[in-house]
Amino acid sequence: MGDDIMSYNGGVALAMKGKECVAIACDKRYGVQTVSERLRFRTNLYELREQRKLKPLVLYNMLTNLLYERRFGPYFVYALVIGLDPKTGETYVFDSDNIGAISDNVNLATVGTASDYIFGLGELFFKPNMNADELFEATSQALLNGVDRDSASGWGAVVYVVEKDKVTVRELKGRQD
Amino acid sequence: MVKQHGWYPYEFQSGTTVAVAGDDYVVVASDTRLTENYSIQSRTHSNVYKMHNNSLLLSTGFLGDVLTLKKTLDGRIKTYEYTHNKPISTPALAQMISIMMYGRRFFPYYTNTIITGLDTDGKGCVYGFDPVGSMTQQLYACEGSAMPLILPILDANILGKNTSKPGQVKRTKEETVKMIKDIYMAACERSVELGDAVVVHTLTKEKGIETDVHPLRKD
Repeated sequence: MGDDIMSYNGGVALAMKGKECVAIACDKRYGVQTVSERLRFRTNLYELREQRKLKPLVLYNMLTNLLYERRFGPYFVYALVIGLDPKTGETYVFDSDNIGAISDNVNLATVGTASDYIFGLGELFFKPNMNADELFEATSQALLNGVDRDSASGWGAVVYVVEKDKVTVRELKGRQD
Repeated sequence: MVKQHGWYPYEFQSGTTVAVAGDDYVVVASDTRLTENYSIQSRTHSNVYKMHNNSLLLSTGFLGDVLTLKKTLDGRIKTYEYTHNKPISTPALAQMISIMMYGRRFFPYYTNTIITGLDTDGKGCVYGFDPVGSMTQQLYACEGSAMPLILPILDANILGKNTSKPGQVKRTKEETVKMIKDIYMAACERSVELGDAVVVHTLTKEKGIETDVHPLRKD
């Protein structure tokens, strides 16, 4: 599951695809600060310079680029990028390791200390072409049951479901131990 | 850098076992892939061992120790049966394994072991062990290389964890067999050490052991 330092703080994230919707969820133990701040800085610069919103693939390339710049002194984070094209409804789910290895556009991705526990659940609960409600249920169940077997993740969860016209954020109650 | 040399008495072979106890049955399963350091040693090796008294032993870890444990146990079971003039019950067998394993406290059998069977009332029972013999009776158990992928699924399906109505979900043995096959099919998508096939045994008082083999992906 990675180097010891990669599980220093614990925490986990999960992303899953549905039909014209995509969900991302994480537990509430840990916030990754430096990387998200620097990525925000670069996306802001991009949008100012290009005068347009950045697309999921651009964000993903930016992130892996940012991570690989620190190839020999890496950030100790794993990352997920999800997105949805509001016009076509095409969905994007990508993951990355701490040095910016790129992934395919996958149906299911999970990173963090509970990822092994969640992968099994995710493979079982994932069905192609789920609607937003089914996707929310599958993602939540996979995350909650997964983190309950991991001492370094948990304390509830946040689930984002992205659809063409809206993003729904739900906070889940979970075990507080 | 000084290279450290040393002899290590253990190896680790893959294998994943699941056991589920029901009111009048026990269902156990094992995948049939055996690997060591990313190379496949066998595609037909099941980690379920039928014991003399109609108990089922599930054991993964170091295969050498698994086989030694099984062989020693077979001998102990015979001795028990000659001494007491009756077959050994599964709870008694579990206690015997625990004592045997703790007897090797400082050079343990490198195994993750589960013993299952029916108790005197025909009710399913599952006992899980750690490598030095600590024993617990459980509703269900999962051990081996893909344990992290499977255990939380069993938590969700059998105990109804994280639902609006938590609590044990009762299943018929047919439903349990289907559940286990589905779980193995899910797990083999994400574990390189799990694959080829899953063997599912159902143990009941009426029919004894029934066996079912289900193919899994072979890559």
